Amino acid sequence: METKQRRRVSAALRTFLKNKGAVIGTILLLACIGTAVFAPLIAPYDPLDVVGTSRQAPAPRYLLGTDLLGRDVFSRIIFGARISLTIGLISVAIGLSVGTSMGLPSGYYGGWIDSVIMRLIDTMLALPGILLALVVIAALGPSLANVMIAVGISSIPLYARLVRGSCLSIRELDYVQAAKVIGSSDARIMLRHILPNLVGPVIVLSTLQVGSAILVGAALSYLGMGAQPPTPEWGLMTADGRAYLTRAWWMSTFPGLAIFLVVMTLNMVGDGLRTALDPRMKIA
Amino acid sequence: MTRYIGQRLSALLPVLLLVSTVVFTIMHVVPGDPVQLMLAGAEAGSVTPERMAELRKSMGLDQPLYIQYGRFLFNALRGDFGMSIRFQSPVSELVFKAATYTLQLSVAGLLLALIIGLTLGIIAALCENTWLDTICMVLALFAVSMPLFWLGQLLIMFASIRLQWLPAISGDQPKGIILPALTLGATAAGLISRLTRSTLSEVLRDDYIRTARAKGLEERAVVIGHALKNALIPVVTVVGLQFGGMLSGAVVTETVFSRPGLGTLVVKAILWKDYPLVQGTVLFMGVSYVLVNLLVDLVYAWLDPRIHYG
Repeated sequence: METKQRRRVSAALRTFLKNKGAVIGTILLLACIGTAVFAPLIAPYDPLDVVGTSRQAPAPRYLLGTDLLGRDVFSRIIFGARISLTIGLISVAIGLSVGTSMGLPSGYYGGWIDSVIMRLIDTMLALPGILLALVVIAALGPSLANVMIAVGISSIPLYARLVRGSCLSIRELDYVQAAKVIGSSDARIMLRHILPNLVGPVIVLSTLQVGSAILVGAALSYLGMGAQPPTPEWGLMTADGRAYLTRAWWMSTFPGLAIFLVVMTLNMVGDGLRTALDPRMKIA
Repeated sequence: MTRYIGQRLSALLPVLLLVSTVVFTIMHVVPGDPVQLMLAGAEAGSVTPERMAELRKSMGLDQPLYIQYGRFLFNALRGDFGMSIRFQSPVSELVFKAATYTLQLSVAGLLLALIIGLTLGIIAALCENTWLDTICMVLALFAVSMPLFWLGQLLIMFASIRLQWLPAISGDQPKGIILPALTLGATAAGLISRLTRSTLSEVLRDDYIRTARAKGLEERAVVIGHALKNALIPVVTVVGLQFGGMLSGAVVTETVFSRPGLGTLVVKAILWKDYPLVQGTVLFMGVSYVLVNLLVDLVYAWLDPRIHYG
């Protein structure tokens, strides 16, 4: 890395580390990732095994109680971390790859390419939030894999707009103009000059989007459109406990709490990254 | 200004066309024969090939795809979205009836979001960098991180069952809308409070505010008369986006509180594979959102003339 870039990165790192929220968030996030990775070692029981009687209250033996079938809620939540994080990561991967490949030519070339791509983006944005994902599920059918595709598709427009916007401003800069003048190919300019400047905003958006994807994915499963039983997905578990809010409150409360905590840590880290990389950055 | 309106409207039409295309495609991308789906519940023996062919012809499914699409568009423009497979009644009737419920809930949710969000944001900005500021912003962080269905269930557990303050199932009483509206508006309240805090604290540092204070104006007059007016302009645009958030959030909130509305309708329609109903509901929601955003953009352009002269 060139010295100027290295200095920028270390300056950003220092700002990030001074932010208490960001640091706490990072530690919690690492704990969450660790839980997902080492789930078989941490969980006391198999998430699919019936280990106790139905709807037992939290006790030393079953830390967060058992669910309707007598499975250990704590173990299911631990393994559920894997599913939620996978939903987040794959959706972001889809959104990032497709969104960038749409936003780059749109912002760089402008003209009719930009118009066409922007109309496509606007169409996707016409169905806000969970709606676009619902439409994809309606077409593909309810399943965990389709949830990842659906949520991925609904994050494409955010990346496309971000990349396009950055592209529009960067392409006017002197050194990009200079590169064009000396005859660099468009692809080379996009890859070597424009793309590196996008890394910051894209990292911030991705961190926040993983949280958003987890929320939408859990909501889809809650509605019966996503993960199917007996998968220990947090949204599905919350839905299962819905009929027992008074008699077995732990069935819904803890999976929902897990979602809340993971998304909150992602938001804390994302906010910290945004402040560190550029406080004036507009993400969405 | 008129030119700006014209520009925005002409950008709108292709988008609406594309949305209807996407919606139309759902039914024809799905594997399986819609006619078979429709007759799935009928008794064996009554499902003859002749009956299926007849049904297919009456639904226009024997025509080439482009003709079906043309008819779909033509009918959609007249407000005719076909018949619901499940309810055997016009989709437009079902959609409009559900829309009134969702509109009520969305307005209530947005109102609560504005009240709570603006209050928290203003307090945070006026007490910048104090513990009060931190508390407000932590609450905002909670609000945007919380899954709606979980918040709804928690509210039902505490406010309704434990404390017996408010009803969980809405029915028709006005009190019944409070919990769902709180749930729906929570995320928006969080976003509005953060935005208000950042814009207001920036505006409070501006020169003209210092001038107003130096002139001897009371602090309250400074904040309300000068600072707030300008800080609220970005919040207006966010409100438009938040309408989309309301539509999206209604899907989950209505299910949690067993309220009728577009959200419940679209979810059930998808689960029942009632494709005409899915099409009609999704198209309606998409078009409403696009139109509301257009309205908000026009209001914003009117408030800040730099937008359409730029």
